Amino acid sequence: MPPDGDGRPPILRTWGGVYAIVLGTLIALIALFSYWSAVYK
Amino acid sequence: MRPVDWAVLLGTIAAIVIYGTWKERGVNTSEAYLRGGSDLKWYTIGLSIMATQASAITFLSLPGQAYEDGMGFLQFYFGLPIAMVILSALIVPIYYRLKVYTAYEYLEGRFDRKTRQLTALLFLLSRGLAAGISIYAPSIVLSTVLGWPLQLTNLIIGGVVVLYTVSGGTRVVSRTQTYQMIVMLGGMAAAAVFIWSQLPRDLSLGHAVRLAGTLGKMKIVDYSVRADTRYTLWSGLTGGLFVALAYFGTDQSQVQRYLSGASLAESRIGLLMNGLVKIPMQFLILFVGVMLFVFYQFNKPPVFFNVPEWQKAHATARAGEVRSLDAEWDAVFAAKRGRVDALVTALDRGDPAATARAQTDLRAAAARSDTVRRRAKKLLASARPGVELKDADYIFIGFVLAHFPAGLLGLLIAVILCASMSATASALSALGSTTVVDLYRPTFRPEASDHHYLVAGRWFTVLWGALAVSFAAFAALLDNLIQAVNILGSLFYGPMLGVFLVGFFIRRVRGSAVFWAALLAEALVIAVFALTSIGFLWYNVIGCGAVVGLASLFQLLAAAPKKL
Repeated sequence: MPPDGDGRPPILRTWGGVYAIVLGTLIALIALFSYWSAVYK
Repeated sequence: MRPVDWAVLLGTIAAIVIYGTWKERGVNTSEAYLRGGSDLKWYTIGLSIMATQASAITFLSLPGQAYEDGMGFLQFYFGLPIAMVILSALIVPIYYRLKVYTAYEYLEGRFDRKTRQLTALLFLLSRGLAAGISIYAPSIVLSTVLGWPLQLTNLIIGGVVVLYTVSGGTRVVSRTQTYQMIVMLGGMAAAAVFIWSQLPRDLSLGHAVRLAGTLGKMKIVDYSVRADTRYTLWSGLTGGLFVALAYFGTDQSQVQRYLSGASLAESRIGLLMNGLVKIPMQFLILFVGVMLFVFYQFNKPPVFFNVPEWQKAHATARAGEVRSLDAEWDAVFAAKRGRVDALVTALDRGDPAATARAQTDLRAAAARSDTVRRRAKKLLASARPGVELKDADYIFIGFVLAHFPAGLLGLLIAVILCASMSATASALSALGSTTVVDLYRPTFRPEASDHHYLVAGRWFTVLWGALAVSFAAFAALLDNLIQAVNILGSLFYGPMLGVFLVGFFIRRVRGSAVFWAALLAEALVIAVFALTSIGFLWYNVIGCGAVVGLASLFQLLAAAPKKL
């Protein structure tokens, strides 16, 4: 990844941050789908 | 199909193939042909990875699956983003450091040649059979609904793919897949918008989804813990993770996609893009099926979705019963339609008690409708013995043919053919590369010229293409083959992944221990498949776990001091 100070948000400056976004999105999607499963029945 | 549909279909396919081949002309080294030249950007890698996984079955079957069983299949993809992170963080850097052409090359350095070639053979076996199915699956559906000759359709799809794959190898495959994926995504988005436009004007999206949910189609996440339930949150997160790790980490048709990246960072971002986009994309495709289900609550669907087969039943000795069942179907639909209207009215009024009553009534009417559909299948089986009774694959394509406007129909057929071609092209390219790099070069011609391996790569691609088309022709003679091949990957992926995981993470295990562990694990997975009812996603966990456990044990025994 490019070094710090290239204008990217801090979370995108390290691979750990990028992985956190991918896994965080997965958790958010599962939560959203669980909510829909409960509401739309 | 109208002339404008043919123009859109042929224009789309021809433009992609001709432009892609022209852009990647002049591939004249084995490195460029087999490995891709190492200069692709992350978006090309990401789209190419997605296009490799999206086969025609994705677009033909998934909407039908959501129509029949709801959105639960989406859980199968929950392990995928985790797998993309693990691969990006731990596995891809190893491949880059070793500058390998194929994933199996790594195994010779880590273990020995026999382990490398055993794993390559498992890949060739599973992917070679699957390539035949990726040609056959759309051909059988298109030949049934459009009257295209089956074998000619197989030959044309296979022939075009072989031609452009041979011309530019993995580079042209990645290039054409980028355009094919854009067509696929655009086509499905257009399909979703069109189906939405066909629903009653006063039906809101919320009420449409509530209607589908009343009949069980919106149960996306299943928290139950049952090994024989195919799709649950847990099987998705564990079995789905293992499938994705094995498929993206050890299947050369995927490894080849990201090894052609300009840098490690480009490859990683391409994989992570897949991790971010895959679940929403599959959600969209499944949701098209749910919207189709809602459409057919207001418009009478066929009693059997493979309409040509049902019509043939009218010309059999059971024609009287078939006609009477048609009349019964009309009646149960009319009754159900009344219940649907009652539910929508209750939802519009915002009356919870009336909504609950209407939901109960609708579920009862839907159960009667399902019973008539089951009886129709039984009747069809006795009227026309041997006919395929699974009609879910015809739900979406039947709707497309009956309702889509001129032009959009051609685009949707192009989506299906693009999917078939993209999956087949990466399979043939990987099969050719693996045959040259892992079997032919080390065993038969270790010291030949670069030009020799380039020519050999092209000939092996042609050979695998011919085998795939032949297998597709043969597949027409067998029953339930698509279902069998769907679990084929899971029969081999577990042991393949186990070999790689031992290689990456258990340093003390040597070649012979992992080789025999892989053979025994493969036998175990086949025994589990033959003798138990365990869901196929678990085969990956069992096969992988068996290799890791047995290889560690064998190494321990081999290392123990011998007492005389």
